[in-house]
Amino acid sequence: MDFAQQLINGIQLGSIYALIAIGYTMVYGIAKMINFAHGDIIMVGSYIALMIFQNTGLPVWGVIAASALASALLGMAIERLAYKPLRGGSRMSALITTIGVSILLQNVFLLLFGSSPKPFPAAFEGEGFTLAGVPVSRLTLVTLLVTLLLMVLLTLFVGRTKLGKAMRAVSEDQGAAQLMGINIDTSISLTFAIGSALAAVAAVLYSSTYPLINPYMGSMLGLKAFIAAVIGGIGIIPGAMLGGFIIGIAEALIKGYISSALVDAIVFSLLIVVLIIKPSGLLGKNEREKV
Amino acid sequence: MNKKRLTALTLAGVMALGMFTGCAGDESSSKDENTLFIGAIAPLTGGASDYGITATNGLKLAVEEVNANGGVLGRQVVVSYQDDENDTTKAVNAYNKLAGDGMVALWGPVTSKPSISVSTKAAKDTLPMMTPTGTAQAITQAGDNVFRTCFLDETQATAMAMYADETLHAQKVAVLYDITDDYSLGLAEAFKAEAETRQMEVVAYESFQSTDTDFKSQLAKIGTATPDVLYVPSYYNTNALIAIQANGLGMKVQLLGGDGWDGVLGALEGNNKAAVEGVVFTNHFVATAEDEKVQNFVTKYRDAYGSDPSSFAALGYDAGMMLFQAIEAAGSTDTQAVNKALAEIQYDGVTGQIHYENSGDPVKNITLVTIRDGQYQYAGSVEK
Repeated sequence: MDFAQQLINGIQLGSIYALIAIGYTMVYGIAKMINFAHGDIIMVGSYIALMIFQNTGLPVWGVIAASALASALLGMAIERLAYKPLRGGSRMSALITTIGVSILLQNVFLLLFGSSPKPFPAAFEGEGFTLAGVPVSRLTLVTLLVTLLLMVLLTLFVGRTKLGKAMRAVSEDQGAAQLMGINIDTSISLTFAIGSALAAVAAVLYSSTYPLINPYMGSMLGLKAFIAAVIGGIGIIPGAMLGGFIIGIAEALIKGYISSALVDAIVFSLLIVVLIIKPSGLLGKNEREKV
Repeated sequence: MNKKRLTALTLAGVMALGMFTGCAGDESSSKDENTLFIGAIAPLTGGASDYGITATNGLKLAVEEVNANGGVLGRQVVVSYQDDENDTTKAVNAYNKLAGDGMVALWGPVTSKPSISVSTKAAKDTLPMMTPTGTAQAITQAGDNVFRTCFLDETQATAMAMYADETLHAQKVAVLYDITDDYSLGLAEAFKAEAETRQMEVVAYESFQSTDTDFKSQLAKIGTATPDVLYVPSYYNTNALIAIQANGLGMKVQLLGGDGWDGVLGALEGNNKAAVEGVVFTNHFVATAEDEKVQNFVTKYRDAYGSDPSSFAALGYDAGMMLFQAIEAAGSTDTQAVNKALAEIQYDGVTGQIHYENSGDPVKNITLVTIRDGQYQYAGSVEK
């Protein structure tokens, strides 16, 4: 019973990591850059959701949709203003720029809302249920279902639609995709929009589970999700989902059975081990560099 | 060229003005036969200013009250407020300045580190010093002239273990504490030690780190040990998250805590407030206590500042009142006489009845606070 409880805790946390990791992995797959500001989009998404909760009577699903839309626009704007001008430049300058955007977002929200954490309302009220003697709250159930639903939708979108196909083409070979008449700018914008919208959904789920939000909440959360993306194989969408669940469950079990003080150390070591054994991640293909 | 000169002149003018305003506040500190000069040191600006300002607000009420009743030794009390910005060097500078101006006694500092450094200075001068809220052990060990108004951190943990045993009749206790924080660790250890002395079984002793937001794994583990009470000695933001997650896991355990729980309702929004319903924690003071002194103080404080007094305000008030009572009892401003009067004081204030036994740490009852209907309510007190 204890083990089942820990497993459920891990799956709930893992769902959130997975949603965020998808953003990292898609941006890497398509724009070939690591967007360190992605974690802060979660923070922005949480504050936007809080503002909507406080100022309108929108039901929770409306709040999630509105926050996702606003975050998607923000993600696209950031890409257009900060990253696009550097496209084609060195990878290093793009990476540094993402760190710059991350610090900018944190400080803007620090100025707007102050450093003290803000309480987040209980978004998913209602009775949970008991599964084989283990209580599962409504929130846990909602988190898991929303994550699975979004994953299915995303997989269908990327696999079956024209826009999705275009995104995959850009990820495979930008130059060739452009020659085939694919608008690279649109594809990259769309990638940022989807990644940011998923981050905003994750933000509402996360903030409902841990209902205190502050301007720095995105850093550690983003870092964990980034590790999840790398472990699963960065650039591969199913890899990000798998990585997210692995990290979430590993964290819960380590806390439950080994030591809460060693959690981060063990999770980060896990990353090192995976990178040594399989550098391209669990689902990554080993591609030989042709000389 | 002209523009530059103008800017320079303006800047010089501003600087000169700054010098004047810097001195303006000190006029009142001159020695006078008809006034009694008390020094006060507190962080009035900077990160800890919230504590400093509320504590001095309490002191200001005490001064008003005593002056309205004819002052101390027939003299009107005059206080010079010095800002230490929670910095040890600035606190010592402030002390030197106040000592130079001839203070009879010192109220403050408010925070622990400045209090430690100032207490060694005060001990050399054998000047009566009363820190309202400095909890570090070392402060009152500096000398016989250094006193504090608040109880020590560990005292409230032992008091809570006593309450769990004698009032709640708990047999199995669990502790969930922040291993990276001295306050939390100190309380957890003291609670555990007292619980073991009292033959209660500590069925779970789990830790987390300050930056953690997820406590479900530890809580699940604690849940399987089925404790009667769960002691969570951390700060309100963390406590709020723990209470919510315990609630989410369907745990029905009685939550207990220390004064770090004060403010937890502000860290919860709407329906989440239900998660802390019924928690019991130790505190210095609660504004809803029915005691007449407390209600008078709360009314006056609301009139003056438009908000409910915090523990810091109450301790600031009591610290001031104790100094005045001791000086009155000593019959003079002689430092030795005042120190002796403080050591023998029997004071009945808004944070409880206080006296001292061979040390500068008070013997007082500790207030128990519970949360009922989304409000902090008085739940009794523990004699310690």
